[in-house]
Parts: sequence; C-alpha cells; structure tokens
Amino acid sequence: MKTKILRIVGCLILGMLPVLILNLIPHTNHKNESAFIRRFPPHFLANKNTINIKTNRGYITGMDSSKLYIGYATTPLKLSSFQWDYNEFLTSSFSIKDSFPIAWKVLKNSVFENHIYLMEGLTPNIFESSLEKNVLFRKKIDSVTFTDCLPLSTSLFIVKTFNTQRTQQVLALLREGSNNLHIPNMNLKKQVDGFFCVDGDLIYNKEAERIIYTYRYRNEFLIFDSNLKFLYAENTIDPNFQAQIKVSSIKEHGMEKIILTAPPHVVNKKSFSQGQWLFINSNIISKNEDQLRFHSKSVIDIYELESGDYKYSFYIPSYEGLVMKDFAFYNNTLAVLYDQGIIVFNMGITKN
Amino acid sequence: MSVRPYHILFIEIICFLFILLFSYAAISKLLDFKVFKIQLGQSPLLTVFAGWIAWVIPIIELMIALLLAIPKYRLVALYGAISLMSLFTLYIIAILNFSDYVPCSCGGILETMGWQEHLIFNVAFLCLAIMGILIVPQKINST
Repeated sequence: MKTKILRIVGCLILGMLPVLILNLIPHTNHKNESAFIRRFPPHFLANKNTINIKTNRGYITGMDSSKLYIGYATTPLKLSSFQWDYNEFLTSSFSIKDSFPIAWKVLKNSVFENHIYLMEGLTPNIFESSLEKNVLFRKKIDSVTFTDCLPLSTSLFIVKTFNTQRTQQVLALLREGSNNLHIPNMNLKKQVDGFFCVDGDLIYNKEAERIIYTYRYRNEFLIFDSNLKFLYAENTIDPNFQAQIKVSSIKEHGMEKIILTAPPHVVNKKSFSQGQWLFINSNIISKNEDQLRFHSKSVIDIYELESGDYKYSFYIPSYEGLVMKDFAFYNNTLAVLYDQGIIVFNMGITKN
Repeated sequence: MSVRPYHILFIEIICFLFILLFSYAAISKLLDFKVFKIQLGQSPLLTVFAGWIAWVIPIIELMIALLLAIPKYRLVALYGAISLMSLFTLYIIAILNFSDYVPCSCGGILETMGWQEHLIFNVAFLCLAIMGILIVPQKINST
C-alpha cells in the first residue's frame, strides 16, 4: 500500500515535470527588443470620475467633448453613453429598417459626429443613423467585402479589404453608391503573408483630418490625409521592424483557410488619435521598466501627429485587479474602459 | 487490501473508461493531424516543440490504452495514465495564466469543453486512476 502511494506521487510529479520545464524555458526569442527607453513625466494622470458598471464585452466606439460611447460585441444594436460630468450612464437600443442578411457576430459599432454606424464586411453591410433617431438605414455598398471600415462622413468610408492583384490587404476609399474603390498605390506594406502581417488599427483624427494606421505586429504607423493620400510613415520607439508571425494554410469544410500557426508577437495593441496627439498602447517593455509593474498596467506612448515624434509615455493603472480593455481621449480628458467600470482621468498633457 | 468482487468490476470500468478516453483522443488527433499540429504551435508554451509533441502525445496515449487492455500490464498502464493526466492537468493550469491566448488541442468532442470544465474532467479521471491503483491487487493472476 505504502509503495503504491509513493509510486502514485512519483507519477504525479513525473507528469508535472515537463510542464514545469516548459514554463521555465523562455517562450519567445525576441532578443534586444527592449533596447529603448521610455520617458515618464510625473503626475500625468489625475482621477476625475469613476463609475462602477459592468460592461460585458463592451468596447469604446466613440468619444466627444462630453460623452463616451460604448458598444457591445454580443448585442450590437445596443449603445451606451457615459456623460462623465453628470455621472450619467444611459443605454439605448437601435433597430434596422427592413431586413437584410447580416453577419451579426462581426458587426462593429462606431460613433462619429453624432451618427452611429454598424458595419460588417462579410456580407457586406454598413448601417447608419443619427444618434437622435433610433432606426438604422443600410448604405448602398455592395461592391466590396472588407475586414475593417472607418466612416469619414455618412457617405464616405475607408475600408480595409483583400486585394487579389496585390495578394494582400489594402486600404481603400469607398463612396456610397459608387462601384469603384479608390486604392492608392502607397498603401499597407506586405511583410509575410499579406493578410495577418498587415493587421492593425485603422483610426481617424477629425481635427487634423488624418487617417492613421498602426500596425499590430511591427513598430510602424502610417499617416494619410482624408483622401487617403499617403503622407508619411513613422516607427514607434521599439525595434520590432519585422512582423514576427507564422502562417499556414489548412483545408476546412473544403475551403482553403490561412491561419496563424504560432502565437503572434503583438507590438501595438491599440491606438487612438485626437487633436494633435496619437496614443499607442504598446505591448513591448522598455529597458527602464519593471517586468512585474509593466504587466499590471497598460503603457501608452504619446506621439505628435504632425511629425510622428515620440513625446513621452504614461501608465493606465489597473482597476480591481484587471488591466484596461479600451481607452479614448478628448483634449485633456482620458476615458478608460475596464471590465468592472469606467474611469475618467485628467491628463497633464502639455501643448508643445 | 483484500480484493472483493466489486473491486474487480470497478477496475474493469476504470480501465474501460481510460481505454475509451485515450484511444478516442489519440485517433481524433491523428485523423486531423495537420490541424492538431497547428493548434499545438498556437499554444504559447509549445510553439517551439509542436513538431514532435504532435507525434509523441497520441503515441503515448495509444500505448497506455493498449497496455490497459492487457491484464498483466494494467498496473503499469494505470501509473502511466496518472502521469499523463497530471501532465495534461498542470498544462491546463499553466495555459490558463496566458489568458489572452488559450487554444485547445484535445481533439474531437473534448475540444468543446471550456478550460474550467476540462480541469474538472481531468481531475476526475486522475482520481479514478488513483482509486484503480489502490484497489488493484499487486499481482494479478486470476483475471
């Protein structure tokens, strides 16, 4: 009996050993990627307002001078607004005029200039409504499927779409009612497969009239004007010039499918731009940061939009033990979305 | 421990469940081998070793299932099952720490389980194997 128990314990340990060893081996071989320094100005954030509200699978869809808008991945027809000065959190529902085939699971919500847009590029569909009315109308766009869409006005959109001639995803200008896409020559740059390697955040800065594309797997962002004319590309402060991803194609239900075969090395998690600033939530730790502190917070690097120059960085703290899910800012007000609530901060951001 | 008749039945059931589990898991992996290999590569812990782990795991599973079917090697196989199950269980716990990326690669219907369900499932099987070993007679000559 005693030997049996000893053997069982031995076997349990024997089974655990490989996992423990796997845990000790470094999982990534990104040497020297921390060979850069971040600058942190003191007392950058001051807490302004906190609201405890559970935003299950919520994300920020827009922000203006007084309100933050939150959409929900699971209930795309719902939109919440948070007016921080009055601590007022309201949720409203929308409906879609007439019925269309819709890929509900990928519907993305965006609030821009008092209009709400619901977009999905599989069917494809773009629905639009003014925020005062609660009925969404479908835009006449049928010529192109897309993986991302950014409204510039109620009839002009920037889409990210797969271009078969260039065998990669490109940015294109889509006008309602027109069958022609405008695809500028200066576009996203393919590094590996043309699909995943050019992945990134497509955002618009209304004040500066700039379209910004921040690559997810490399240290670069691109700036275009509102006609999608390429202006400049700039590197973020880390040295990840090449997207580190592995892809492979498999057959599923008779269809060829390209998938990632190793965990991708994320460089830039999320970006947002307003006024003269571009904020990027980086995933790369710098030489002068503490590993443990880095993972319990979210670091934001601030770039000047006009020049692309790095200014400095700050941390968005965690809330109730969880790091932030999403952020947006308007002038000096920073709004941060967590699983358990929303925190609005004042930023000590200097003009020059 | 004295061997009672229902002990024998109990051991038979445990062995049967393990044979079913391991052979099902191994075959569903091998049938869709390319996908299995890719899924292993997607795991943050296994990326580097995905190539040969993809072969080793189903082979070990099949070997244990085979040994369980032979009364003479049943005890050894149960020890093997404990090792393998404790490996899988700790792997689940380890992978849960990489919360942003947790692909499963168990094969077949087992893939539909969530990670927490999986953990419970594994611990239950671990307990079964331990119980099996404790009641199996040291020398089996009579089964």
